Amino acid sequence: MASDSELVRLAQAGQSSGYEELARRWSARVLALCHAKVRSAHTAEELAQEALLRGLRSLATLHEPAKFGAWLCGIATRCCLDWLKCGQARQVSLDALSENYTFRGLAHSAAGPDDALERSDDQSRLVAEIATLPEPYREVILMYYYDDVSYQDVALALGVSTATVNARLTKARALLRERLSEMQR
Amino acid sequence: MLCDQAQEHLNARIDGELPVAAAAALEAHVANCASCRAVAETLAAIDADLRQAYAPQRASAAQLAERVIAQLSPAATPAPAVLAPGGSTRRSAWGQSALAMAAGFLLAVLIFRPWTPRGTDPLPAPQAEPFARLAVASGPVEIQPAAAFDMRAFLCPQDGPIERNSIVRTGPDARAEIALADGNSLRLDCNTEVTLLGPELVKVTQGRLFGVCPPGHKGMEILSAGCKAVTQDAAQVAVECQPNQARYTVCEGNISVQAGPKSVDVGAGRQVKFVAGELSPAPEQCDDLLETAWVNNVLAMRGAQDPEFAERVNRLLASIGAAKLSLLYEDELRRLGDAGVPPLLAYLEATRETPHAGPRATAARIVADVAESRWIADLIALLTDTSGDVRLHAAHGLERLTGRNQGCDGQTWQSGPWSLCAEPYQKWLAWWAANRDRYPSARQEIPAPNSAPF
Repeated sequence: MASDSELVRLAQAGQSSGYEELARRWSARVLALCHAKVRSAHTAEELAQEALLRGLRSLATLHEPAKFGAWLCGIATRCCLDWLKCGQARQVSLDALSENYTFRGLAHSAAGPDDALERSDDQSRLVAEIATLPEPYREVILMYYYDDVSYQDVALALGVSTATVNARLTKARALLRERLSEMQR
Repeated sequence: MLCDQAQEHLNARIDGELPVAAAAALEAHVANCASCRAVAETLAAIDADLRQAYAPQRASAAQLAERVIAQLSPAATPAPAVLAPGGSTRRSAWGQSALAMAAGFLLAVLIFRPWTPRGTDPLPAPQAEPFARLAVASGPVEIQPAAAFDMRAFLCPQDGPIERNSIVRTGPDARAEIALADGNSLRLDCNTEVTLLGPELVKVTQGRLFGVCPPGHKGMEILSAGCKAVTQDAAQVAVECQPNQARYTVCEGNISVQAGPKSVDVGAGRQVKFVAGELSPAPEQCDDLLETAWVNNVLAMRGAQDPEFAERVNRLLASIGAAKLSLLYEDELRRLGDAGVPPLLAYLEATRETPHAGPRATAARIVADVAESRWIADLIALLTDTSGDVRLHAAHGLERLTGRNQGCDGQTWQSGPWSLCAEPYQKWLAWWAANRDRYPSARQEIPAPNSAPF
């Protein structure tokens, strides 16, 4: 399998196969990152699309092809922060807050109807609880489950070590375990 | 092997990342530790549930990739001509047929999605000065031009011009602000319908409207349910309209409400009702801030630095503690969510040396509960606040957002001496220096505190 660097060089040389493979390889991780930042699956899709388009259209400016993943995730992060700063988050948060304004309540509601697909109660509870996790844990767990990736892949995207990915996944799952057991009491 | 390490290894094993060298030691530990065996079982269940729960997202990601590839393809179709900036194609479409016009606008809306964040391609600005335009909207807004009474309403693009005599409607999820050419503005709550009859004349058919006449501008007339409100300049008035009844609440300035031969003057902080053809004999006192709380949501759309928004947030804070139902004011601030954070931080900064302990603690508590990660640097800066309560809430907010406390709990931040907090604070500064690239925020630098800020 070609590395990201090789694909970036192919794309920079004008080969469409390069950017096509990069888009397929990175779409899930970028989508997960956006979902973790804005806590709305629908909005995340729009932001992820924008980030991928921006990134792949400006590949010529990427001087270190080996850092493509972290570079692309940086673009996605900026898209999300721009969205949050421009105030569009209110459309989610105000409506979500109308009934229950606690942080837990916000996160439960922010999961949004688009997340409520055909799921069992356990899965729905889990998805709702993920929205309440601190961002670093939410980020790593969504990135891990949105795609078939290794710790190394997640580490590359987030710019952290594989040990950190392991530690954050452990902590995230421990928090989920605690909260689910609290609910069952 | 300790349980903490075993649990990291259990996670790695589930994820297929456990080093072969660690497998035997883990098995030995789990065989003798009932607690870790239980954890292993729960982890397996959580893992299976999450894989299943996020299966649709994996499919969405694959579709997303194909959409991106299609858009990047050299053969991708360029934007339709109807969207060309200020182009005559768009104007001529109005003359050709109502159906084509509706389709054009719908196409523009589908592509630009004016209620969603703007990318790098702004909508074309109208060439002629419009009678009115949609300034901001939190969702789709319908507009029905006067010349198209027999046509169903269609979505109005943001910044799009609105003709005289148009009917404007907001749906159940949309609030909006309309800027009138003469400088006045109209804010519409959800499920509201108005007709723009002239630069200073509007009729409310249903819902809630907030009219603003800035100082030095002409006032406006607002018709609703058979009566009329006439505002002077520098006035702000809210109108709530239902069939056969209306309520006028004045937030600033003065208005005159007229029904038949009867007229009542209403000043700020008062309201008057018109029910079943009868106007209240005299205005009643009211809490205009709570009565018009929905306006905060519209102001928040105008940006965090909007002075009117900051003023209303400060008034809500000032009302906390000064009224019996203080919780209602706090509720309103919390409902603003992350959008309310900038004015709350500005309040905390501006009142740092003042004795407003109660409202400051409330402001810090709300920030700690609702702020997103872009405010981490501001929360770190609040750890040197002169108020122990503010520091306590800042520490809680940081723990919520980052999952860490740098070895110093909230109690210590609240009542401990600076000597106990100085080292954790330095750790926060170091943590921020190492991590700020992950949180491009409104504030990148945290000012160095005094030698002993508290």
